[in-house]
Parts: sequence; C-alpha cells; structure tokens
Amino acid sequence: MLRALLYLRLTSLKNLLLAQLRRLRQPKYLFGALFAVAYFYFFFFRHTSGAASADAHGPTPFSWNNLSELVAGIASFGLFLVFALMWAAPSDRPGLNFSEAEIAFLFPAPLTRRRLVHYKILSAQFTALFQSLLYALLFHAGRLFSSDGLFVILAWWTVLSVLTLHYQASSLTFARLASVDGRRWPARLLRGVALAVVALVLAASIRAILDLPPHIDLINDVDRWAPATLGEGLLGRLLWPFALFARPFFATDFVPFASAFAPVLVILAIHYLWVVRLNVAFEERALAHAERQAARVAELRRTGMLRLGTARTAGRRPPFDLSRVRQPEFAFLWKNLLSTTRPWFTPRVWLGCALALILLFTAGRITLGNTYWKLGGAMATLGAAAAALTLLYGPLLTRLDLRQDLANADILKTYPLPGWRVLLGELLTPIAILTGIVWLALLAWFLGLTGHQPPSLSPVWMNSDMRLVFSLCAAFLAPVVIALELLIPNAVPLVFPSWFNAVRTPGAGLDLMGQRLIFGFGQVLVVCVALLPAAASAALLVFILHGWLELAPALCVTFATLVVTAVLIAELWCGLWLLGQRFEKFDLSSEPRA
Amino acid sequence: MRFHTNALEDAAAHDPLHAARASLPLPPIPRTVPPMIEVSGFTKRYGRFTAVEDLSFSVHPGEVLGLVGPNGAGKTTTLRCLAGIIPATAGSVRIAGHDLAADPIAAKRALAFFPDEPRLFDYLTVRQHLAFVAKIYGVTDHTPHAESLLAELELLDKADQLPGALSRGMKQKLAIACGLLHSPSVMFFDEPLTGLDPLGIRRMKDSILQRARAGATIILSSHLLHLLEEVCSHVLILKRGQKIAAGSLDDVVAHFSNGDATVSLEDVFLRATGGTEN
Repeated sequence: MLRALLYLRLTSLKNLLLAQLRRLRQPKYLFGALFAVAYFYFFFFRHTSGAASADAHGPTPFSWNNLSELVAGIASFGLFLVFALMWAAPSDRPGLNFSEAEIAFLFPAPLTRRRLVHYKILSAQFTALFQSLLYALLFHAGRLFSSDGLFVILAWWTVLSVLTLHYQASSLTFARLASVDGRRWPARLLRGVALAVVALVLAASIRAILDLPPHIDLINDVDRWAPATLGEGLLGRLLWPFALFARPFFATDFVPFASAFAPVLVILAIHYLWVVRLNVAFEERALAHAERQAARVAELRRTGMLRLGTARTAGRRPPFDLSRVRQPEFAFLWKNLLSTTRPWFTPRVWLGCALALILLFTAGRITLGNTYWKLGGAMATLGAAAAALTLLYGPLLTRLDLRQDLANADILKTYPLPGWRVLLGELLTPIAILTGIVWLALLAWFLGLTGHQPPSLSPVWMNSDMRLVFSLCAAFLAPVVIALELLIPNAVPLVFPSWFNAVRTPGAGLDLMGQRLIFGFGQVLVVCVALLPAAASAALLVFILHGWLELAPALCVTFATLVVTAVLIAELWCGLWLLGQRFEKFDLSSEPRA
Repeated sequence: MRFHTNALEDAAAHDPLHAARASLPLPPIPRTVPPMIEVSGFTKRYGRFTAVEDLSFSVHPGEVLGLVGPNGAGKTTTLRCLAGIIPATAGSVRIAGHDLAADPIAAKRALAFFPDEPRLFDYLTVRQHLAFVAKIYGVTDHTPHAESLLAELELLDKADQLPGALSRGMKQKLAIACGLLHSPSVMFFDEPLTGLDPLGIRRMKDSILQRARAGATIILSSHLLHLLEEVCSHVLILKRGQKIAAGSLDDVVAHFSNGDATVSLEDVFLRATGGTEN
C-alpha cells in the first residue's frame, strides 16, 4: 500500500516537472523562467561564491558565529509564538488536508485511517524537503556548498517537519475535543491555557526588558541584551525547548551537530507518534475543506482573486443608496464595494478611523505634554510609510476592478455604455479604497508632526503651514495618481490577454514566478514613466515660481499641484479612451486559456 | 410514461442498435440470495443538524436501487457514508457481508464509488491512474483488464494524456474505468448522468444495466427520473433525511398511483414528496 502512495507522489512529481519543461516551448513561459533565474541569481546567488571564499579565509565580523546566541534566542521566541498560536488561535482547517481527487480515490479505498495519516505525513516530507533546500539556498547560500551544507538542510528539515506535525496534532486534538458530544468547553479550556502560557512568556519578556540597565538601547544594542535576556532566567527556561531547534544551525562539525541534532530528532519522533496515535475522524472536515479549496481555485481561475475564508451566503447592507446617484459608473462602485469580503469600506468606517486618529492625537497631547513628540514621531513615520506603500503597491495588489470582472466581460459588453465608461466604473472602487487609506495616512502624518518642528525638516518648506499645504495638495492629487496607476494593470488583460491568463493560472513553477515578476517590474516601470511628465512639470514650475518670481512656497506648491493634476488628468483621459476602444473590440472567447 | 421494461421494448423498436439489448429480458431477481448492501438504522448528524435519520433498506445482487429525493434530502450524504468516505453517526452498514465500521477494509474492497464530478489527479496520465488504482486495490497483473476497459470506454488513444487534455466526458469515463478496475460487486453512482451528452447518457445506462445483469449491486442517485425508470429495479425516496417510500419500482408506483395506470416515476416523486423540498 505504501508503494502505491509513493507511486502517486513520485509519478505526479515527475509528470509535473515534465509538463513544466514542455511549457517552456512557449516563449512567454521561457522568458518568465529566464527572468526568474536571473532574479534569483542577482539577488541571492551572486554573493554565494564571495561568501564561500570568505569562509575559506576565516569568519567575517558579521558571521553567524558571532551572532549565534542572538539569532538562537530570537528564533526560539519566534518558534514559541508559532506553536502557541496553533493552540491559542486554532484554524478551522482539518490538519490533514486532502485534495478532492485524493478523497475520491483514497477514502473509499481499502485503506485504514492510519495509512491515510502516514500518506499525509509522507507527502508533507516531500514539501518539507523542498522547502528546506529553498531556505538553505536563500539564507545559507554561503554554507550550502561547503562541508556543513547537509547540516543546514537537516536543521531546516526538522524545524519544518515538527511544525507540520505539531499543526496536524493540534488540529486533530481540537477535532477530537469537539466531537465529544459537541461540548465546547474542553477546546475553550485548552485555548485558555495556551493564551495563559503566551501571557506568561510575554510578561517574563517585558519584565526582563524592564530590568535592563537604562543605558542599554533596545534597538542599537540588541546584540548586547537579547542573548542573555532570552537565554537565561525564567524566560530562558520557558524557551529552552524551542532553542534546541536553533542549535543544529550553528554546528560546523559532525560531533557538535550530532549532539545538537539528537534531541531535535527525539522531539520529531514524539510528534510523529502523537499524530499517528491520534485516532480522530478527520474525514468530514477534510471533505469540507477540499470542497472549499476547490471552490477557491475555481474562483481564482475565474476572477484572479484569492478569497480566504468561506464564501458568503447572506447578503449585505449596501454601501450607499444607489437610487440617489445618476451616473452609471457609480453602479460599478456600488457593486464592487458589495463584493468585498468585509464591509469595511463605507463612509462610516472611514469617518470612524479619522475620528480615532484625532482622538489619539488629542489624548496624546493631553497626557504626554512636551513628550508628545515620541508618540507623534512614530505616528508621522507610520503615516508617511503607509501613504508611500499604498501609492506604490496598492494598485498592484488590489483586484476589485476590471480584472475580477473579466470573466463577465461578455455581459459588460452588452451594457449600453461606451467602453471608457465601463472601465472608469470598474476603477472607481480601488480608487476610492486606496484614496481613503492615503487620506488617513496623510492625516496621521500631519497630526503626528503637529506642534513640533523636527530639526531634520526644512523650516521653509516643511514648517507647520507648509505641512498643511502639502497634506491638502497630496490629498487632492492622490485619487488622480492612483487612477493612473490602476490604469496600467487593468490595461494588461486587454493588451496582453494570453500573458494575463497565464499569470492568473494557479500553480507553482519558475516560469510562472518569472512571469509574475516581469509583470510586477513592468508595471512599476510604466507607472514611473507615466508620472515622469507630471513630475517634471511640477519641478519646473516650482523652480520658475519660487526661483524667478519669488512667490511664497505655499503658492508654488499649490500651483504646481494644479498643473500636475491637469497633466495627469489628461494622461488618464487618453488612457481611458484608448483602453475603452480596446475593450469594445475585445473578444475573450478567442483568447487561449493557460 | 411506462415502467422500465416497457421503455426498453420501446427503445428496441425505435433503435435497432439496441435491439439485442431489448430482446434480453431482465433476469428475475431471487431474493433468497443474501443482500449485498444492508443498511439498518443509519443516521448521520452534523452537529445539531440531522442529515439522514434512521434509514433502513437492503439491496440484493442484480438490483439497481434508484435513490431519489429533493435537493438537500440526504442522497449524497447517504452515498458517501455507504462508500465509507465519511463515518455514520449511528446505525450499521454491511457491504458484501462485512460491517463497514468494524471491517472497513474488506467492505471497501468490494465497492466502488462514482462521484458526480470526476475527481482526478492533475499529473497522472490515464494509464497511470489505472496503475495507481490497481496498486491501491491490490489488483495483480492489471494491464490486460485495464486495456480492455480503456478500449470499452474508447480511451485508448488518450491513454498517455493528462486529465487537463481530456473533455468532461472523457474524464468521467476515466473515473468509471478506475472504479471498475478491481471488479467491484457493489457500486454507488452519484448523479452519473449530469453533464453527459445523449450518447454518453445512453452508454452510461447500458453500462449500468450490463453490470447489474452480471450480478453487481448498484445504488444510483439522479434527478433524471425518466432515465431512472429505464434502469432501476427498485427505488428509495428520501425527503429531509427520512425515507418516504421504498421497494420495487412496481410496488412504489402502485402505492402512489391512486388507480392511475399511466403514472410515471416523476408523478410518484411529486406525490410522495408533496412537490416541495421542505
């Protein structure tokens, strides 16, 4: 029976690799694979030969051996949190996940429950081994091709295997507790105990940090305080089992490795026996999970969106009264807001968040007085970072636009609307959501700096009045910039439909990864090029107005914002019109699917 | 509509290709032979929700039991429990004389389950699927039987293709081939006719009848009642997890006929279930 299951895994793996190799005959996949190889070489493997030769000449000032205790301590703390979360916040997944095909073939087959468990454990080992190689390549490239490369791979393999087995054991344990006459208190008690342990460890951590000498800086002196704090005292004793997993990573010889690896192997064996002996009926949960997964994959193929959690079965209150708007574009906004997984994007929620920021600012000013700057500085930094990241990555990550409705393109084309209006309607939802986030981030930035003039900021261009002008101008400009950025990823399925279908194909492979990387880099590049004329116009205008005409900085920035907005709106209008034309001629049925 | 025997004669009169099939009467079903499927007090609950309650019936070799009911009646749940995919909450199920709970291995060796949608492994070819199933069920020297199944189901030219290259009908045929490879004596079909074209439906019906004549015990769930009339010898009507009617097709029809000689299974179904799902 084990041979049959091995046959399934090995034959599937062989055919998968052959299918991926055959796929490389198509140029789009070949380019993707070459790009991915170049990406990994440039970012990860280019330093391998340098690191290996450095090791041959002796350790460098920043080698692992010097930071081993720090890394071991932090890694053990991280592992503890992961294990604790499995018990404190268990997921509803069955622990032993089977695909629909595995259920259809294996559940009715003459296999004992224990054999099915062994099949899943064996399958997980294939995944763990592959991930071990990958992590060793990513994080220990210098050591991988040396004499202790095998130690690193084995160390990763044990960590990943124990994590998987512990997750399976915790899920099965909760399933067993839930199956006892449907009583909930045993599971709740277990979760309570796990939360109590987490609280105990966190309390011990905070206590240890509070006991540090005042001259120790938490961030700059982390290598001075972390090893002792995390390795000694109550905290050290609590984290000791998890620290065992870190020790094999730092062994460079066989004997030290063997002595560090032995206890980890014992823990692995205990986990294996625990999972195998847990005779829990997992079939129903596995079946339900497989059906949900299949539905998610089908929706991913259809819309390009991966939804977590179960599908909604009940309707939701509309975000606004559609009868009050006249423009049909807002019907798309209304529809797409209803399609979000959470009802967070409503005016009430946005206003609530803004009020919360203002209350935080007010409370901080009242309670902290002159030391408000510490809180305000963090608030301003987070606000600026959030605004920048939203502008940079938001349009790339969001899908609540034409991309999710492409499967219904034939229905959209029956509407009595020109293509550009359909496109504009589809873009309104991500524009509204991302603009809301940027506005909140700008509010946080402005409030954080209110009442304080950081020495690093220019007193002419970044005084309190100018910060208000910048905030208002950025808020005015944000929706237009976001709209222009969104136009590019929405143009891709219309201009390069076969590439777009290939990228939306769920699955792994170097070629698919490379295609997604090409898309990502390409979109960032096109956005930069699209913003260049506006940015150049703004810089030139400010130079003329302030440098030659000596107008006040506030007026310069305001005029520049108006000009930039006009340029961007012109670009946006051209883009919408052109893509609208393309959309009207688009025939989805003629495009090959991946 | 007529009973299934008359339907076969009509089919033979209008379709010369099946004259040979229609000319062979269905063999009498000796009920002295022990049942291959015995269900007693079968109950399935999901938390507080009872999907099937206290269901009891038996099916003998050569019989084709049609499992019918409105949506949500518990048909798929019943089939999945009988196939050992999910455990029953209460009651007993015996397959080929083996208790499914006490001796699931022996029971499962005798059965095959055919789901409504074919579930296949994305990266096993058609032949490799059969090789895998042969290993699972311990079928020695499976190649000749596998090749004959592939030929019968017209899959020989697709034998080295992955499921991604097959049409829906071919995927369904592959799923059937996998289920028949170990020569099961008990078969469960969950909506086997869904998504098939008329030729596919005719072939599926012929296949089921052929295996029933060979002595297999079959439970078949479908909403296509006029087709069930042509295939089934017995019928079990479920509604909201409870048995409404069960017995030979003639007996059930007679029970709900109200003296009407031309009543169809569809009429019986609507009368038995009150025409609603609740």
